[in-house]
Amino acid sequence: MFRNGAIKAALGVLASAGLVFFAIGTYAGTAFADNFDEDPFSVNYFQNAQTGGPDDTMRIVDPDAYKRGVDACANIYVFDPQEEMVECCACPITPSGRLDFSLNKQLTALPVTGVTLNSGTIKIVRTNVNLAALVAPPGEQVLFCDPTDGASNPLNDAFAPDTGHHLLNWLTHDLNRFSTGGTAVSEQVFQSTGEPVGDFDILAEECAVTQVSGGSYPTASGICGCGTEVQ
Amino acid sequence: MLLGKKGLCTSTAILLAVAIATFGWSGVAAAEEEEYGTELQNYFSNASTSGGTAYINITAPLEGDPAGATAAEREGETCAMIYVFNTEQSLQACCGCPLTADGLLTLNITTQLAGNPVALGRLLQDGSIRIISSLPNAVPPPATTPPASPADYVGCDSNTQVCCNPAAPAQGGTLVPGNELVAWGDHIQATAITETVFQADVPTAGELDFADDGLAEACGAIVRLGSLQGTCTCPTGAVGFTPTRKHRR
Repeated sequence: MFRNGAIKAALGVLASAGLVFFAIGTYAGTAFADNFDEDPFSVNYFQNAQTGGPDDTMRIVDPDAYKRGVDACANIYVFDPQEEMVECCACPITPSGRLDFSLNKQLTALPVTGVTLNSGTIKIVRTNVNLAALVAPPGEQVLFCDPTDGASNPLNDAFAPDTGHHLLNWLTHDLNRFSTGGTAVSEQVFQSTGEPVGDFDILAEECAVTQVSGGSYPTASGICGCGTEVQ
Repeated sequence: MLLGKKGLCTSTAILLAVAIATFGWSGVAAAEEEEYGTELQNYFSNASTSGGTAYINITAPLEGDPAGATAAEREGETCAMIYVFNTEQSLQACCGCPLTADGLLTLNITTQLAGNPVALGRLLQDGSIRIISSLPNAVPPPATTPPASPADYVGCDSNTQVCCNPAAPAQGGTLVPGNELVAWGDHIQATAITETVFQADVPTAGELDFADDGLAEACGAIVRLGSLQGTCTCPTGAVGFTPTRKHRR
């Protein structure tokens, strides 16, 4: 009897543990997913750009726009290895849309320093779009997305990191370092950075300086190009 | 007796169940991958072979504090303290490299990290790399004529006038965690080169503290033992390099 009782008790404990474990796991799993999903900041690095070797491709997907049905801005900040912001731009991305970028042609072609950009880092910040742009009268230059957060036009001071939502971003890495002369390509998802929301203001301000330093059309530098949207 | 023997049994069972589940979950949680942190780990393979050249890339994603009291704070300066181990868990090389916000450190594993192990005469081909993010903990030596020849395992940022000493002698061999880092490492495999992100963790007191035989103390020991054998080399170099040249801040 005692043995049967003990076995039953042990089984009961284990079964209860399983149920509690499942419950905690489900809850915590959601929490983990939420933590990852919540970060609008992400970072990756690039190398071997502008070397004449194979081009690399950056891809951005909005994973949850389908649920919310609103567009987002992918604010892109490109840095050289010495942490100098050399290009920046902001690209609207439509629900469930995908943007594809050429590293050589759109992200590293026009560094504000004028120095060929072979390597560095890329930071992407997801922000809201400025819906006022849709109804603004012509000539007011209200922008749907603005990586400077309205530095040159207060009407565009309308952006903030989209807390609680992220973008999925990938970048291929042309490793190109086989001593035998071959090539190797890797692809890395952008890494969440866990930055405070206030970092966007610093990036936006720095972007404004970069774009002003880069001059104006048609010889402007310091501005990256928005990718092709793949619906 | 509001609670009979059966009630007591049930309560005990519930408590036990919660304890077991919590213990089990902590293991699962620990296994979750983190992407950024103040301690990063990865492995390296087939360094110094004909399989190719592998690199690690490190960035510091957090922006500086525009209102910071020092140039280093305004630039978000962080030290990437790098510790290279062989497969027998012996520290073979160490160095400290300054890194400002959004900057990129690229180190050749063969020539800059594993090429000068303390175990002289033993080629370091496989092992692991541990990076601890630390606040800058040294300053450049005063200018002299002729210029001093600082050890190149202590990387300095001449713009912000701070250095990164992985042995932390001025702090008694104790590291103070800095901003979070993100890093990637190449791996030379049999027929290809792959790449993975470093796994992030939170350093334990034992890793940071001199009193617990931490990494800095071990680094100091091998540097002394090896007479500068057992050091890795920062791409920034020692005094004289200027990694920061911002438009503003």
